[in-house]
Amino acid sequence: MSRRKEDIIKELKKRDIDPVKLEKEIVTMLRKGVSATEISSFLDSVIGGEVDEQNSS
Amino acid sequence: MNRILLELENTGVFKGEQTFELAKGLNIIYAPNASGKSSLIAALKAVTIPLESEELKKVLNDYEDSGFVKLSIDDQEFMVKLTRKADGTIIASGKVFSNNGIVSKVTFIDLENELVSAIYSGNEERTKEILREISGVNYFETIISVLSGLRSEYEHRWQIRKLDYESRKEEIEREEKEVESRLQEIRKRINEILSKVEIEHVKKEMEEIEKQLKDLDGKLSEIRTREIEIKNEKELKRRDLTKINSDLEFYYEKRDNLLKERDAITEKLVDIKREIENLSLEIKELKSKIDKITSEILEKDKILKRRREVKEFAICPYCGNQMEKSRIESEILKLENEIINLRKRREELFYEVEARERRIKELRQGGEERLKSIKEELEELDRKIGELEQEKRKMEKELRKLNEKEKEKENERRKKEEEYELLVRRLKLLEKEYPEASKLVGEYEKLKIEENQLLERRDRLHTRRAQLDEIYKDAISEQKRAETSSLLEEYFRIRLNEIKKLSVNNINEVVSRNFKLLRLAELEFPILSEDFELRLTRSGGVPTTLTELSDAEKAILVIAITFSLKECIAEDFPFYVIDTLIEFIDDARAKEVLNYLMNAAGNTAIVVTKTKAYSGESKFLTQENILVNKIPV
Repeated sequence: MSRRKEDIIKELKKRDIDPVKLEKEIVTMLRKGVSATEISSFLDSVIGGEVDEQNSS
Repeated sequence: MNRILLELENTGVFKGEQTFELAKGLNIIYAPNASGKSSLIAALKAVTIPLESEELKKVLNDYEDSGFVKLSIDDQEFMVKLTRKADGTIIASGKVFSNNGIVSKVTFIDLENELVSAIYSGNEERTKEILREISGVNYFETIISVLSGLRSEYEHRWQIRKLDYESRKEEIEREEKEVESRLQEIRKRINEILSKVEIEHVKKEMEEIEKQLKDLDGKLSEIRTREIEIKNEKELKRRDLTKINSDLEFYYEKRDNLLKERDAITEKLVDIKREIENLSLEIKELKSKIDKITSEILEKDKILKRRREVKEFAICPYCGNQMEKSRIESEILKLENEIINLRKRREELFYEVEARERRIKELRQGGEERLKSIKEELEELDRKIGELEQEKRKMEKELRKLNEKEKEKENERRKKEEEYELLVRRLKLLEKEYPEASKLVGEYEKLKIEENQLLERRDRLHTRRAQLDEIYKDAISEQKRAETSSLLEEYFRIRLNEIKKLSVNNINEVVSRNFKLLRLAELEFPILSEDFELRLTRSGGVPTTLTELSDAEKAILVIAITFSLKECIAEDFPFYVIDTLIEFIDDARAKEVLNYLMNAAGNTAIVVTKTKAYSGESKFLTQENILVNKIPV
């Protein structure tokens, strides 16, 4: 894992976002045929702190 | 994975139930054309991945309305029920092996497979797109594009809020500066004024007078309010009194009228009594006449009855001879007329009696009875008048009290107004006596007012500052979002590069492992560039393109790529199926490809269809047509 990637993950976790978990979640959504608009509103809620990414299942 | 059982009912060309057993390793379905090879593959596909309605049409037998496919892998079971709806569409229900749609792109290799179509049509761009899709690279690109859009949005909002915050902040700071500087000026001037000894006593006295004036103002205002209240109360009482007076007038008038009526009736009472007596006598006479007529009618009725009885055989009571019938009849007629007339007369007399009785009733009502009712009415009126008069006296007393209070308040007000006037005069005298000092005191007071106004303005500015903090918080939150989205974007970019590299390296690595296959197509390794572009090189290093490959080479290339991709992205999927494609490869190389797949199968059940020469006997395929790890010669 690159140093930069490690730093980003650490910084995102400080902001209550687990990018690895988020990646899996979004890729699964896209595989199921979810639209980009829905992905956008999901990411908006994650970034806005409405979804606790670290603790969400 | 030791046992794979595929149970079918009404699928493809098969009618009724069929069971086939597959095994890990190479399974070649070796049967003539139209025996059901593709039907078996379609059924396997239906129970392993989700299919669209159009694809399901190929699974259910054209002449049946329902069927099923059941797959048992050791102790695991998957089953799909197929039903044809009234509009011809087929619906599938049940549990399939995998829900991942990408899996089918690398495991079911037939002429309908997108990658096969792209390679066969020589479309390298489309091939690249499909490979990117299979590896999931396009998902990451979508995520990055979404994040980039969100970041721009957040940055834009952040900038707007920041500018709003800064401009408001600047305005508030400017105003605060103005207020503070003016406050300083005012306070300085106030101190200057207060430091002058000569104005001290004038200021004190003026302040004292103004304090008294203020007190007086308050008291005067209170008195005026009370005066208005008393006036209103008086007005209400006056209205009530007017109402009582008008009621009283009405009752007095009514009483006078009743008294007059009573006197008139009393005067007439003797005449009325006399008239009643006369009328009573007349009634008596009339009734005796009625009685007389009634007995006359009865008498005549009796005679009439007798005449009617003897009408046919009457004999003269004197001579004893038969009487004439016509004579009796004329007597009957005469009697009947007389009775009618008597009854009429009696009716008339009844009317006359009734009229006299009515008149007596009227006379009684207008006489003694009326006198009795007048007496009752007068008593009621006297009671009401008494009550009203008492009320009137009470009201008049209250009004007098209110008038006294009003006067009292008026005097009090006048006194206060005089005091006020005196104070104003004293103030003016003071100003005349000490013009400079009083001017300074006036200035001091104005400055004090301005100081208070400025302090209020400063408080309002503090409130606005608090609101500004909210805008700042909003701006910071947008900035934080922009930063977070930027971090996420960077993370996904790193991941995209990793995935690209990983996918391409993996595919190339697996392809290199299947190098033998590639050599069969006379191609060299590596096969994919970092951007998923096909890099085709002939043995010996001559670059080539898809369109330059033969059908057999294309088939081998497809098998090499998809077999490698399956290992990368669908390792756990138990099947790898090649339908029809093997027919495009010449026998010698086909045998080598099959041999290779048999050795590389591992835990996967590789299913390949191969056409057997027609033997003259047409029949559907059976278990015997499935050759396990055996390549037909």
